[in-house]
Amino acid sequence: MLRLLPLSTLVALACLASALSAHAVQAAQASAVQFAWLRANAGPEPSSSLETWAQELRLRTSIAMVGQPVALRPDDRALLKYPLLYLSGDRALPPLSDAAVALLRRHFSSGGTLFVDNVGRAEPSAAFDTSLRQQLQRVFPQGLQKVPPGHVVFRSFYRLDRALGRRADSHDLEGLRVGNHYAVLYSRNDLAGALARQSFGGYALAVVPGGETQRELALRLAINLVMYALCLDYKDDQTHVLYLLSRRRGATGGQPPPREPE
Amino acid sequence: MPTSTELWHDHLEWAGGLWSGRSLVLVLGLALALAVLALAAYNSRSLVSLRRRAVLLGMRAALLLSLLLVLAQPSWVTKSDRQSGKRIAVVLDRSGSMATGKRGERRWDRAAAAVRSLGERGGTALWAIGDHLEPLRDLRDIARVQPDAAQTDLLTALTSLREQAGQGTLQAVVLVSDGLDTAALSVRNGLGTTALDADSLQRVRDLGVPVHSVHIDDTKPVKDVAVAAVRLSKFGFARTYMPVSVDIEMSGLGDEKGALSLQLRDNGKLVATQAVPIAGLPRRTIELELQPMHVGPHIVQAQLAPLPDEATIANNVAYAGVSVVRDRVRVLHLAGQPSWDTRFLRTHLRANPAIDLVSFYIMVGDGAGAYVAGEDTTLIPFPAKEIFEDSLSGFDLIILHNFPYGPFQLDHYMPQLTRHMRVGGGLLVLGGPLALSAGGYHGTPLADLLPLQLEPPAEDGGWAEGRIVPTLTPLGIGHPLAMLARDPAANEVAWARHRWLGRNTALQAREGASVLVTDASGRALLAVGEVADGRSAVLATGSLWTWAFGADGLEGELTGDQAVPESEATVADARNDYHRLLDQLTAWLVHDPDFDLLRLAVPAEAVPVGQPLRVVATLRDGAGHPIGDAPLKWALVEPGQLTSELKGDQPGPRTDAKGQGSLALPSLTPGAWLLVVEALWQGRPQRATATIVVTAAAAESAHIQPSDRLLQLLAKASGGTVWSNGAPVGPVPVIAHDPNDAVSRADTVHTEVWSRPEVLVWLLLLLCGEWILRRRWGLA
Repeated sequence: MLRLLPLSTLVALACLASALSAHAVQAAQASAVQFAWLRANAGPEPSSSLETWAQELRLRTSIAMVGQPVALRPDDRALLKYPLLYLSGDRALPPLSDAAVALLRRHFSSGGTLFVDNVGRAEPSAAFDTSLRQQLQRVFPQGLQKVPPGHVVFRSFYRLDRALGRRADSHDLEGLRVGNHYAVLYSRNDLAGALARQSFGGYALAVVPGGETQRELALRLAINLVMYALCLDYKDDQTHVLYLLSRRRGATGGQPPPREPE
Repeated sequence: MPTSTELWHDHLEWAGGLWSGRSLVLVLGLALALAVLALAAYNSRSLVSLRRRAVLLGMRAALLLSLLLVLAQPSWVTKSDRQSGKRIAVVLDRSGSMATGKRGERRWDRAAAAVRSLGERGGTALWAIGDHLEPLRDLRDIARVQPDAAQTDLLTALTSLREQAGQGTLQAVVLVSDGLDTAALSVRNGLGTTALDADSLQRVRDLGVPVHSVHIDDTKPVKDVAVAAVRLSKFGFARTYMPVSVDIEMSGLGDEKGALSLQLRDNGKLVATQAVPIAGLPRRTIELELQPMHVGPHIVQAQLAPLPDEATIANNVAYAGVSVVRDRVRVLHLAGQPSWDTRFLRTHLRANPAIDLVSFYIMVGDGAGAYVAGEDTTLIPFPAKEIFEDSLSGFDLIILHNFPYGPFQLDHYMPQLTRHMRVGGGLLVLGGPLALSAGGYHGTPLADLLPLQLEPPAEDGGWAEGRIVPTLTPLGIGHPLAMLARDPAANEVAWARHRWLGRNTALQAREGASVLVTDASGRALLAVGEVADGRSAVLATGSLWTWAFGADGLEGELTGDQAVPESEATVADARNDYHRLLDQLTAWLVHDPDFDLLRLAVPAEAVPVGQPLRVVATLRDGAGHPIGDAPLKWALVEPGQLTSELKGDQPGPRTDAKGQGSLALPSLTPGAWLLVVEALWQGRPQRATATIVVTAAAAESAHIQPSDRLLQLLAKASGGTVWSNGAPVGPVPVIAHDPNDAVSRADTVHTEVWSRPEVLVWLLLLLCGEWILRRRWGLA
């Protein structure tokens, strides 16, 4: 049908669709959550993975997700409108410009969150890993640290004991702490690969070594990551919610149960 | 009987006869007597015994001497001279405690009798003391006054006496009292004091005369229970238990059994009841606990249930005021879904150490199904019952954040939420696609608690996306909640740099509510209002987070709107505005007094009854600028009777250039009061409330048993004496006579010595005795 239309009409429709899409994205942004992919020329485009990610969030949680991610350059000031950033790579991350470093520093300081995914095909990309650490140290010198296994990010929605992706090279997450929370969370297991779909809907890549069970765990980690970005240590509080409520009723004695480390 | 006031001179006076100054008569009388004596000696010469002759001659001589004395008519003359104008001041205590006792046996009756006894002796000036000193014209004037004064201020009485009676006109003071001072004297000289304090001592010494007392005691202890005092800290924390000590006194109960019922009330509401056994010490301190639920002035009342035949029930209750502040604000944050707005609000609330936060987010959508089943998730059921039925009263502020009405049985718990609001709770509704009309609030009881009128959702479902320019209303420009800068002009500039994305629709301003911010079309975005004692606010957008994230300032650059330039400074300002707006909203919703435009300055301590009371009200706008020429009105309300509508109000002054108005309150009756002051600002009433505790009346009757302790201290300091239960038999000691003072003759009393029957008997005894002896000894 598209072939029957004149080229000018197609261009006009494309512009209108683009405008409507942009408006929809922008208008929905206030009350909905939208991924912003940092187009840093360090790996393949993760659009299908991010769409799957958003779709699973809409399906499993109450979060209002915008299905389509927005792609932005690291030095695009528009990223300051999107608290949830995603960066993936399977090769060395080109050095960030000073403007991009400043923007990311401001983004993280303002409460934004960046998910970083090492999407090396057979194994984590060492080049991406090394360059990522170098660039993040430009943003915040403390660099990446291992996220403790008991951290709330492993309980923010699902109970998880490992951080798996398409691969299972590492059971851990790494993170960059800014203030009281992790502003950057880094997975070396190609999380996006576990979520990537073919155009016909099936998953694009096999998950190794755990198969579909591991894919589900990867999906759950993806859910938890977004939940953590939106709720921070809420689940730590919720563990104690009945205690807190009883304390409101006047039971002033006793001590609250110990908080788990964030 | 001569008593007291005069300077007495006693002497023997020969009123006539031989000693009347005529020496010839005197000489003749003596000569005749000697002749008679000589004749008697001659006649008795026949007696051989010299002893018998001496006896007879002695008796004759005694007779003659006695006759001569009788003929001289001696009189004992008592003359009294009075220092001109000086009197003994007799001061009758007419305070309420003097009315204790049965009719005819009251302390007052015995005191009046003592005063009459003193007054009848003359030289007295009569006074009555209660709230103030007043002169009594004469003894009959005692009947005019009654023991109904609400205070006994002995020290002021002595000072006033010196001023009203005049310097140097007093010879002594006699207080006729049960000794129950309720003012400075008792305050400064508590139990265990052995000497007057310096100031009281100086005042007593300034009188320059002895201060005596007639202490009116009871024949037997009267039956009475009293709350002597309620003691607690002047400041307390909301929802935090604080100790309350209640001093009770029991007397005249004998061997009665059982228990007294002690009730503790907070602003008129019963909060604790305790049985106090009668058996035991007559003075006891009962320890209770109070949990003030709300910030602001509280009146704590302790009351003992009256006993049958109790002497007075006026002392069965005592009050104390406490100013309740907040240690931490208890916030319940209920969010319909995780979002950036909830995320940044949570960060804001958690960063405030003064906020105690309990959150609950709805994390699962309708279609989650098997994906969230089992124990793989950390989800817990929404504890609606625990929150709304059991714990709601423990929160100062409830935030419904993009929270839908229907799915979580809010309808079932609306009575609790409404009650929470009516007793002073705060409610903040933050908008979003799940809130307000879009969330099914229309037509529900929840809608009645909001400052905006909700309409059925239109085609947009009650939520509209799009960029919005928030615009301050005239009311919002200077309103303390909406102040993002120090002055109204800068405030408008501050708001102009912000944009919101998306808004709830189908909203109309409710009558009486305050709409502070609208969109460019005048549709309400931020409104606040009051529901009984509670406060509510609606922010009809879900994009306030953009201020906190710094995305708000990007709008200009990203959309070509050059009116909103983006810079580090504006981003920082936007973040600060986010925190400021939420802080102000929170503070106002939980009745933080710092956000009251009208404030009162009242005496911190309890006010003695009868003391003039002046309260300064200060009215300032949201920027802190004084508001002048604003009319004030005020009312005094009993605890627990405060309503949203000020009843029985009286006009006050208009505020001056400093925004201040001074209220002169009338003499308050005993008890505790809530002073409510209102002023109009921007056509809306601003209200301030303060507690005023009038303790004197309670003190007058709190210690009903008489005590001469203070009277003894006064006497000790001035060289006076304390008599019990009646006027002294002898004279009242007065200051030494000053020869320089003018003296006037007050009285002269002649007592004839010669005309007394004892003298006649004496003469007859002498005559008969001599005659008998002469006959027995053989003489004629």
